[in-house]
Amino acid sequence: MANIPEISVAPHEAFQLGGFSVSNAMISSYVALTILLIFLLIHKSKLKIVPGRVQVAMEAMVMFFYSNLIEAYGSEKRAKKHLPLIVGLFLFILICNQFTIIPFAQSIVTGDGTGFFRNPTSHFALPIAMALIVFFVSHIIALTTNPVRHFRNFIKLGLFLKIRSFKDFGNALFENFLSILDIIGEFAKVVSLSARLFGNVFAGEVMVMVITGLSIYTQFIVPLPFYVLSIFSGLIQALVFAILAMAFISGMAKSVE
Amino acid sequence: MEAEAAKLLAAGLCMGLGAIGPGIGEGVVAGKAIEAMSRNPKMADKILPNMLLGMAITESTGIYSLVIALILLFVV
Repeated sequence: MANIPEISVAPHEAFQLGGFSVSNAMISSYVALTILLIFLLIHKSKLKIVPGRVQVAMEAMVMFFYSNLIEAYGSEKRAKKHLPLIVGLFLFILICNQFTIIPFAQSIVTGDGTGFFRNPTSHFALPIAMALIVFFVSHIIALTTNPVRHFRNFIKLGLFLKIRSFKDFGNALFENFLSILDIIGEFAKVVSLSARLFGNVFAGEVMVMVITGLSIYTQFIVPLPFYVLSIFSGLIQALVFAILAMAFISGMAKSVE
Repeated sequence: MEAEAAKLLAAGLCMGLGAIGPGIGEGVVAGKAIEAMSRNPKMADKILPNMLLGMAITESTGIYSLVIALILLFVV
């Protein structure tokens, strides 16, 4: 094998801060957050009635999610309430996925030869954290609107009280078995949502690394199509994450109505 | 068999077998989308994003096997 750089799933520790180790993925996620904040603050002060290029793009993006949310919830008030969470997730993942194409970000190296920055979503902790946020938000919304109904959706012991015949008993057993699968499915949602994002971004990185490390001749022009592919899949994955988060939250909110 | 060899074999098998399902699925998605587009060319720009979204979701099973393969290669 040629000199393929060391690939590691766990991020490297950059420095210690009061007993907590700060990894390079964490630094880059804060950098991505800062980029997003600065970008939004600059463009917030420039809002006009006749929109510029960036404003048109941002308005189209927000309207896309807004119309989808209205379709999912069926009410504008609720859609407005949950719009910031969904758009925030989308923008943050979008910036994080494109972290590798920031010029020179990959060239900054610490003393022991590991990169100072790393694509934040290629560390499994960040996608899992975001998937857990979606999980808890959906369940808390359901619990605050109608807690009894929410538990009844998952635990269907009430069916045993309504048994009239032997057929009903079988039905009740089957429904309870299905509810166990539902509970497992809720946790599988977290795994699938996070593994999808992590796998795509990490695979894109590994692919570029392997192609670059194959030989000297494949270092310059050859990785370009793979970069384009990973940029494109980063955009698609951000969209998929936001839309699935929307589907989970709205589905949970609708099930207790 | 040595543990290292078993690990490499498992990663290769995991990726190879795991790519069959998503491959078929994505082909079906693309085929159906093109069918729909050629029947109704005016809807093409509405179908295309939905197709890409469906493909990304179909791909996820392949991505799971990829994650398992990567974990086998670099973590275990």
